[in-house]
Amino acid sequence: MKLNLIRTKVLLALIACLVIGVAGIVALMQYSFTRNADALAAESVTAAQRLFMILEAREISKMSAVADMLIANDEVLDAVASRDRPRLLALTGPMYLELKKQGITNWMFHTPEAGMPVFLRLHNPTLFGDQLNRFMDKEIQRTHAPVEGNELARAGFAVRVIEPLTNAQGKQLGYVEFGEEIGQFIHTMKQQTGDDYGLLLSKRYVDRQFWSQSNAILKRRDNWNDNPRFVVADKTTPSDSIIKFDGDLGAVHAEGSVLERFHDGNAIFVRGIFPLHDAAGNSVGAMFVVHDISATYVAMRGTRNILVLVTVATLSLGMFLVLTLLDRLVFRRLDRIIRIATRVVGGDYESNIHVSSEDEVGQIELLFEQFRCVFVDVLSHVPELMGK
Amino acid sequence: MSEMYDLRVHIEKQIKAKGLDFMEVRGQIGLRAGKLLAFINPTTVDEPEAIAKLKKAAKDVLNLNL
Repeated sequence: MKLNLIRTKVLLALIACLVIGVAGIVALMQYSFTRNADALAAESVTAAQRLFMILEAREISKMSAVADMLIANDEVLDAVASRDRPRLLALTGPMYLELKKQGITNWMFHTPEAGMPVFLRLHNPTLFGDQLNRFMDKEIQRTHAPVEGNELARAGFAVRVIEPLTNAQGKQLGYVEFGEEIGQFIHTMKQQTGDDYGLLLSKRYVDRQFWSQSNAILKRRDNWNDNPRFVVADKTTPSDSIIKFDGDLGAVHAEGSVLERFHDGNAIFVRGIFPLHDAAGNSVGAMFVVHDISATYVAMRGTRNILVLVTVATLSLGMFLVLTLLDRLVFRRLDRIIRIATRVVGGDYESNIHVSSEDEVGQIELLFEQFRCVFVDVLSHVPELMGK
Repeated sequence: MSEMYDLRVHIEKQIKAKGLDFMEVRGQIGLRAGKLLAFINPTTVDEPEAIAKLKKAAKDVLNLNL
């Protein structure tokens, strides 16, 4: 390959364009792919958070509806007003069994006195008279209006609804409280999405003794010492890799964040985290989510690869067409001119240059042909000139 | 007989012996030597510079050592 040839220079320039073009497209595709993968990962975490909020709202709505129904039940109100615990238990016990099937694990009646002691615990009827002194209890005593939200308690982290009970005359009879363990949410979420979840609680907001008692009630291993900063309230997978986290739970971004994207065999997963707040607005824990993005990820990767291949093929074809066009329109015709001119010098005065077009090379062909004619004419007169 | 003419005859024999395009190869040598080989005849005057050019052209085109 001679470097001084236009053909070589054009070829090298086209190869450079091809390489730069392909590298640019590949880099662009990779950038786009990475951004889309990040967006997909972020969306996975956001979707999990959204689903959690939907479930939370749905359960709050459900418990509020049950509370409203109860407030309208004169027999129940009468039992509360008369402080008749056995009758209240008899009236509500069968209902509790039905509600428990619907996920409502906690149901309590409180008396209206300061500190609102527990009058009846449907989920543990033998335990009563204690004061819980929780934020939500204080809030309803302050506002006398329904309070809802998440709160840690002896039995765990639960979404709760507390509503005041009043008689027809508006007299405060007490309070009714329903609660549903958030730990149950993650199993419902797993059923709906197939994703894995892990619920962590910051030790700052969990009482060590309560946690032990809670685990004893729920017959779970006391995992308090597993991690210095948080406790695992529940998870949907036996693996602990889902809850691998070194940061501060309180510092988790409100919209959640992606922790990592990882491969497991042929599958690609996204692991993310979003914070959980209690009714007082404290960031008491976090939910981990592991979402399988294999299908979308593989489709995106396939699209990227096809685009890269199409780009390479298109640029290669373009390069081939340009070279072919240059070869036919310029190089071959120049070669023919050179060959004819050389042959004329060699003594072949019959070969002529065919002017194949009126383009730039055609003008050179015409010029050379005219020059050839003059040259041959001069040569034909040489003997005469020499004779003279 | 001039040396120039002897060289011409020898070159033309070599072109034919090698089965090359006679007119084209003779033209290539002529262009490189700055001479029309057809015009070299037994009476052509030997000029050392012209002889050297012709030999070099034969070497470049035919790899012929004269």
